[in-house]
Amino acid sequence: MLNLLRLEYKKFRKNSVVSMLCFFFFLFTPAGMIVILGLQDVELPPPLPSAEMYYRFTLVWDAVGYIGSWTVFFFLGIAIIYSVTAEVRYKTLRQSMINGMPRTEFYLSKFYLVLSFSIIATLYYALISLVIGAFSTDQYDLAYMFENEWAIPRFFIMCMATLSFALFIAFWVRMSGLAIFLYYVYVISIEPSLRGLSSYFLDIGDWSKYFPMNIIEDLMPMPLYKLAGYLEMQREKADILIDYPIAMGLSTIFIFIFLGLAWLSFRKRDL
Amino acid sequence: MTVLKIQNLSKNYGVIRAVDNLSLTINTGQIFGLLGPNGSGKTTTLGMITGILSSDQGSYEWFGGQSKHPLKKIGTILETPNFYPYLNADENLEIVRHIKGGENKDFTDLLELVNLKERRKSPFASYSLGMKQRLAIAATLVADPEVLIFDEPTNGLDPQGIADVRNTLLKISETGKTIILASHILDEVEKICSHVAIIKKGKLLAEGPVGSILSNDTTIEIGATDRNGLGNYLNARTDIKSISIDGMYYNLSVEDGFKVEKLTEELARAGIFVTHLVTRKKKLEEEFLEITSKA
Repeated sequence: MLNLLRLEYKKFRKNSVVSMLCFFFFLFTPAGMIVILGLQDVELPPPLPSAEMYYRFTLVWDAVGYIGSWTVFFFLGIAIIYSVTAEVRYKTLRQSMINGMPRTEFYLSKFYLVLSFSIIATLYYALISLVIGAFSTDQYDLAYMFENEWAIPRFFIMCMATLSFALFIAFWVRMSGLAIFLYYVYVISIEPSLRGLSSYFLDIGDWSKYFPMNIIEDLMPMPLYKLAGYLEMQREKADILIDYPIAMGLSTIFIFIFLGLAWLSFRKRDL
Repeated sequence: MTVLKIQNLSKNYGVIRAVDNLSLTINTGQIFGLLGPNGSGKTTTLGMITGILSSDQGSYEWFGGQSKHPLKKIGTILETPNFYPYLNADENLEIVRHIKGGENKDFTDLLELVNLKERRKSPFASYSLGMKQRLAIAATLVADPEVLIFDEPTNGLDPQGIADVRNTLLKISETGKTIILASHILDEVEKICSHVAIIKKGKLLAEGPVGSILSNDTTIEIGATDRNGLGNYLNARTDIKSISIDGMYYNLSVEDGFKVEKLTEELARAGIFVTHLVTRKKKLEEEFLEITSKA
């Protein structure tokens, strides 16, 4: 594994696109919290709590997690797509096979990249949440700090699922522009449309929330949904969101499906 | 020892049969030329034996099936040089070494061989086409492979680039490595290769040592002031195998042992005075054109 990761590092350490995308992830994940900071001065009507709550334990895990889910999607997802499609464009994928690299190894090198990005992003998420929470919360103990409904493993599964989806799109489409377009459009437009249409025409009701990217999004939902609990709208919360354990289980299944589809797209294709 | 054995290999692109039941055997130390016009299936064949294209039928075996990762023992350029444009020569060669598993991380000798030592720290994107091709040749030599495959290594190069690549290939051919060379430049193949296979429309037309492919026929290039009279005279003769016109002169194909001095004497007697006469053995190019035009 380390050998293949070293190879990926040699390939992309000087690549400006990958470096820039990683830099943006590290910058915008904490910077996103500044947007919430702006809300601090906004006087919210009771019983809504102050926006300062987003900085305090335990809500800070949800706030950073939600912002992190979008920065992972926008920056790390594109970096994963680029890491495959650039190799198609430069024909270095083909040359790697010619040089004797088995297809399994090439695929594994990209999978390890997904795994590494997910681990690093999760550690970064935990660090930012802890630092912001520690500076913003008046009184807390260790148990209270980590009272976060498995936020760290949830974030890791969210990263793995999002980046596995990006990997599948990259191996399947292979052209940078088209792959990135499809990746964005599926999440932002196609799946929500399908959910709406299936809900309207097929009368599947609550089941429309079990589309893959919606399940993955529900691992790190918008903190406002959680605030619904404070507003005693628990019933509505249950209607909107998938319970965390179910979302974690289903997302894990989708990780395997995306990784399997990526392998099937690559396994026997002419290069 | 057999390096590569291809048996009944076929590949279709839709309705087009790119490679048709191709069988070849290449042994250690041979410098094997793969000749064929554009679209004859050379690159498709090389693509299949290097694992980037799947075959529809047939099989191939490297090193008698003894090697687990045979491609790591083979250095290949297929069509264009493929490198990371933002990395320099050393960094790109290091990636090749990492994949192939070689020990030597110093590429000075290789870069010297292909005359790129001065530009080793420049990014690949800044190289000319000839420099890119030379780096690709250097990459084939990383980790000291047993076999080298070059597909049209001089394609698209200017005369200087062709000369540079040709010199490098000649140097490599002296090292005793097994080389498979697909090329249009028949002069080059004739100079370098010990064996050739000629393919057209995916089919094998001829194969063997260069000497056996080249016939014993002699070519005579002849011209005279009375061009029509010369043509009529030559056409009437029965000991000339074929006649073609090349500009001002006639090209005659005759069997080895044909007496040229007797021909000129008889022409003079017939009042036709020869102004131009060149006698030479048939070149591979002529054999190639003859074999492929028949198919």
